[in-house]
Amino acid sequence: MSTQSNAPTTEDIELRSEIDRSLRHPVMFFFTSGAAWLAVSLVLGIIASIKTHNPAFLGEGSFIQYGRAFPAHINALVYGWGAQAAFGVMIWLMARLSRQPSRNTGTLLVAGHAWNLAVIIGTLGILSGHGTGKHWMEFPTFVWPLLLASYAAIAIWVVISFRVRRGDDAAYISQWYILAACIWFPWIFLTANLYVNVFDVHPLMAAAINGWYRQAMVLLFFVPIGIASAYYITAKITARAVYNYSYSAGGFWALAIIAPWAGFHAVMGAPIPMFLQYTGAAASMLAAVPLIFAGVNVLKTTAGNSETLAHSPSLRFTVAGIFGMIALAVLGVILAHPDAIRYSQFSLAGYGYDILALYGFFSMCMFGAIYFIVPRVTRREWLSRRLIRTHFWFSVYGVLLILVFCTLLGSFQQGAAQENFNQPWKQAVNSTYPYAVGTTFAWVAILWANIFFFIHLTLMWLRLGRRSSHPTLLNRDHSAFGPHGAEGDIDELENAKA
Amino acid sequence: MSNQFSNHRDTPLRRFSAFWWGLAYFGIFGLVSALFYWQSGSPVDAVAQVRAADRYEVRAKVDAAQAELLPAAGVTDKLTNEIKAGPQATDQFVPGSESHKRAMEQLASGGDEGANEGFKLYTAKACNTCHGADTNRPISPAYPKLGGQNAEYLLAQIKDIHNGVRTNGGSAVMKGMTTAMNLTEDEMKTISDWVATADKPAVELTEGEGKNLYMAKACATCHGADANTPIMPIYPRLAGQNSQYLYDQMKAIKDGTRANGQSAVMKGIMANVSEDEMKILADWIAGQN
Repeated sequence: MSTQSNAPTTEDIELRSEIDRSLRHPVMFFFTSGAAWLAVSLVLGIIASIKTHNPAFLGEGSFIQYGRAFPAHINALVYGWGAQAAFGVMIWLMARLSRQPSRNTGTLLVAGHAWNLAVIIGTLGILSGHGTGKHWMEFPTFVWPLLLASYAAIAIWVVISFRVRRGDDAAYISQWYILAACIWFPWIFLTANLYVNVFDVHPLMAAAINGWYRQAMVLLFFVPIGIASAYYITAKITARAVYNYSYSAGGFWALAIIAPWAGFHAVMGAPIPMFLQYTGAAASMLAAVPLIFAGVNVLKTTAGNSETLAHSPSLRFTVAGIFGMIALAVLGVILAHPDAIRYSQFSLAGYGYDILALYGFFSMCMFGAIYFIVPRVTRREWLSRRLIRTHFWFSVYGVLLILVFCTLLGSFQQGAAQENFNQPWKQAVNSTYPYAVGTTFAWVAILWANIFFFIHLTLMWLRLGRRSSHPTLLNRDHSAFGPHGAEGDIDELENAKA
Repeated sequence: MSNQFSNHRDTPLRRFSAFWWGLAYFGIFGLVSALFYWQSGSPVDAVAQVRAADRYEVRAKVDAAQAELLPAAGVTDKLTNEIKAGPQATDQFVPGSESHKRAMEQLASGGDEGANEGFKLYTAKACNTCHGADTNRPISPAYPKLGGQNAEYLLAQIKDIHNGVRTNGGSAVMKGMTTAMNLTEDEMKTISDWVATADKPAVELTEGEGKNLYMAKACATCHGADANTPIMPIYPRLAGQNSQYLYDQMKAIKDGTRANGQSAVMKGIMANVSEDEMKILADWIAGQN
């Protein structure tokens, strides 16, 4: 960011608006359908969570039992919301940083629809009983090639956009992360699906590869996209260069070297080569290093800007996401430690880790990016600071509750009770009851937050946002005496000036 | 646009090459995986082969022993398929669900006070673990269905097994249970009385080879023409019993493994019945053909 001047030229401004205009529909399509999937996933998550403490909830229809609602929930979250939010941020950020308008709006939209179709087929497949029972790969087996093809049709334009970037050869750190995630995703997705679904490998090894797939999806796809967005948003909004170049580069390469080894500890104790399990545990713990590098770098960039942090929705969400990432790093160290695996391996802990990664870190960073990007591509400002505040606080409290109930207290309570051979197994199940109820409450809070987010976003796509030259900040009511001058209709202001 | 925002890097050639190189990058991992998979699959390690030979030998022995112990071909397959088929009848429930609880309560409060007490004991002493909540769904086809059986016969069997008089088949398991659960004679009687009031296994006996054999071998003389009306309460009702269990009992009585109670009478009759005939009889009584 250091090369970017804080005072853009007219040509810069025109170029940016050209880029934003060229990507308006694909980006809004990915964000809005992603938010819709998020709502679907949250409803399914609530149902699954209630089923854990109240099995008779909603009756006995097979499509709504835990065994179907839960995988549908997590897959809709990963592929419906997570991946699509990532696509939107990837294509927009890469176009902006490469300063090159998109020429492939139509292709992106078609591929986006194909992706959504695949997720719909997959989710209905799970709910109708055709799920595969492999974590994060529960969609019926024929869906993954469709997902991969749609992905290629979306991500290839990101690669091209990087290759034809304007200006000198230097690349921003966000571009590194996005390009890397672009290439890592097909590696992880294709390799894991080939070994689990196509090749005839030993089933235990397939389970281990499935564990690797989940961890790699988090560390090599969602983490880089989240970090890329966080670097961009913090540097932009605080109008500063990223704090330390070495931290950025070191964090990136550390992630690239460490993360691919993580994940095999999911099957710790299984009769597969032991080095895989312990390397997996070690890598999952070491992954804290790149995460903390990036986290410190971002937080240092925002240091001393507490007012901006409080007022800007994008920065607020992003920094909350970065705290989520640091929590994820610490939690990774705790949960992957071989002594803790004894308690955490067969408990709620893995789910809590996934949710912290997908919501507490990744989604919060994506919300930050969305609050930044959407006003630019629609040329309208967010309608209501109250909706944004609701979204923020219910998300934060919801995910904190999940961290406490599901990931830490509940999981170790459950794990310890399972290990205690003096009491019946059912006691271990009973001991999680209060935490299961707490998790349900947390999901309800998060759903509450995101229903309003979805409505807000849809209104923005319909271009019903405020026509104003002032961004929606969280500091005060809309008034004629905002920090940026008179408030009013952007066209009227232009006319008055002319 | 090109005039306004000129970009010397944005050439058709660069776009073209980025497109194909990008797609190649996306796909190359699949190719590498495939090569690695085929490469790693081909060479066979000689040591591994020798060690595998031992394992295959042991495996063959185990398979043979299992086949001997499970004479009815495909018992496990059949069970597996039943489990996979999932709940289909209306009297099957999602365990722990409300309707399951209701059905259990109904079952518990169904009869008079004695029956109610019997049901409680039946559950409390874990009989349901193996014989099923409704007494007619044993977890193995080698275990008997109990519902509607003569109370006298049931009581005699529990006592014989408990005292080590009847030792064939799964009796060792059953003896372990009666001992572990500290069953008193009163409790045995209460359970037997209640089980006798439970529903009989539903069955439809057909005309044909089985029925002819049943008559010809004089089974009907003692157990009744419908296999359900024995001449003495100390004789068992047979209709609807598990085929596997019936077959095991006939065999055990014939070769003397089971010698408790009235088995001596039965042994005389069985002297005339071959193993193939036992199989036909067992299947017919179980209502399987």
